[in-house]
Amino acid sequence: MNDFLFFRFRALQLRGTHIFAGLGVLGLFLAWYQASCAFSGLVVPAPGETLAAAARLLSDTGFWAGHLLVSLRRMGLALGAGILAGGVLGLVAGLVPQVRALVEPVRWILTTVPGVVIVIVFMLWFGMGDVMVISIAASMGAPIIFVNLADALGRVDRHLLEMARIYRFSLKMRLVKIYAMAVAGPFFSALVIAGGNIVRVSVLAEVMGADKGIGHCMALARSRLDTPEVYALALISMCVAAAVEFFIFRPLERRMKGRCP
Amino acid sequence: MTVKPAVSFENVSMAFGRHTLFENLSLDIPPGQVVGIQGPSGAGKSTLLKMAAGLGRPVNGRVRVHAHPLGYVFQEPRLLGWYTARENISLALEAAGMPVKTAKQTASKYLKDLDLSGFENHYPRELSGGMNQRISIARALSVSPELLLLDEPFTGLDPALKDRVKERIWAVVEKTKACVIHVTHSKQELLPGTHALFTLDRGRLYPDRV
Repeated sequence: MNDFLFFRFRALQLRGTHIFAGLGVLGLFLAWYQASCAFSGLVVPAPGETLAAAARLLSDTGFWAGHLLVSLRRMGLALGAGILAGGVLGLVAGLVPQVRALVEPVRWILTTVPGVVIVIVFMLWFGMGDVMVISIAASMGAPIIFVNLADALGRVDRHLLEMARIYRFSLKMRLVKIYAMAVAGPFFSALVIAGGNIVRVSVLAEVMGADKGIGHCMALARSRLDTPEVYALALISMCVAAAVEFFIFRPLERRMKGRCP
Repeated sequence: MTVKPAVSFENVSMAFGRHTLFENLSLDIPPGQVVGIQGPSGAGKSTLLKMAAGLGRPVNGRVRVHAHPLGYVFQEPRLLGWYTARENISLALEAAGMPVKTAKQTASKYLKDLDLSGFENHYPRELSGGMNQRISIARALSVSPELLLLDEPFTGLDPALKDRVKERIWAVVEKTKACVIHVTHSKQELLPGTHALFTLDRGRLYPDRV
């Protein structure tokens, strides 16, 4: 009975948080609407205009094929490269402190230097287009994965490793059953943050130096002073980030955390 | 022909920084012997067990172990929080080479032996400290150890349960003829058939009455 009451209370609490999240979104739209009434449409377009511009863009197959899918492909590749680089380096650095010390200066540069500086430098190195956008976005996501993974590995309970030694767990068992499970929670949390960063930086890089993609469309719309389209593209970028977070990363994170203490 | 001791501490010395825990300590424990070690807190009882398990090296001297496999009940359960009670036990068996299905069946049997039927699929966080300690005991017994190291294993168990768990441990020890080193702070906690008792105090082992 107590369990039943506890779960019922918890369900109500969770439903409460969803209602407040909804209210937060509604509040944002109201503030946006008020701002659009107070300022010129060139500065803040009305939400209705923006949604109409977004609908126009999304109903255009040319926009999908020529820009949205191009951006999504770049973001996906950047995320994959970021996970691979940050993951491998984080794993090694978590186990070997010397490697961490070796990689730390690069990590520090990538996390402290403003994104726009990285974009300009990478544009000089890689020119315009795919390679530049993907490498910038990956190098913005990788450090987050790296730090979280290395820290989590360093915090793996030494007592559990002693237990594993006693019962002669093989190296594979230790890696899969202890290390991987212990770092899964922090890894997925890092993935959520890295994913958001990658979307942001990809769009920024496309604005500055690509001839395709959401960011490129944004740069064109800005030059035409088509503010509703600029806002619509920002809205589409946010929806992409939200979709990746809420439909891929969060369910994965919940699944892993269900097993974690 | 002389029988090799299951565990042999040969002139073992241990120190942490400037603090000497024990010096030139020697003890041979034959196979099948159940030995209790008591002593005040900080005397080095757990350190002695860790050395027997290969988890710590003496500063001087040598620890030889001729018994395998090893079961170890730590003072705290040391369970993997992301695996269920049954999985925590079956993993130790799988590591010893047992097929997964048999390992799970064996794990369930030992959980039942320790009155934990019905909790096989529970995670450690869903169970009490005493229940987790019993899972840890079940894990140590399930590997059919030749050497069983018990470090104050009854912590967190109520008196009635303590006696029942003691009986279960003793039943396995009798069956497997395991050598047992049981560290405790109280004589009352010794296993029923304990052969010898030592007191570790100020770096020396003194024989005591069981």
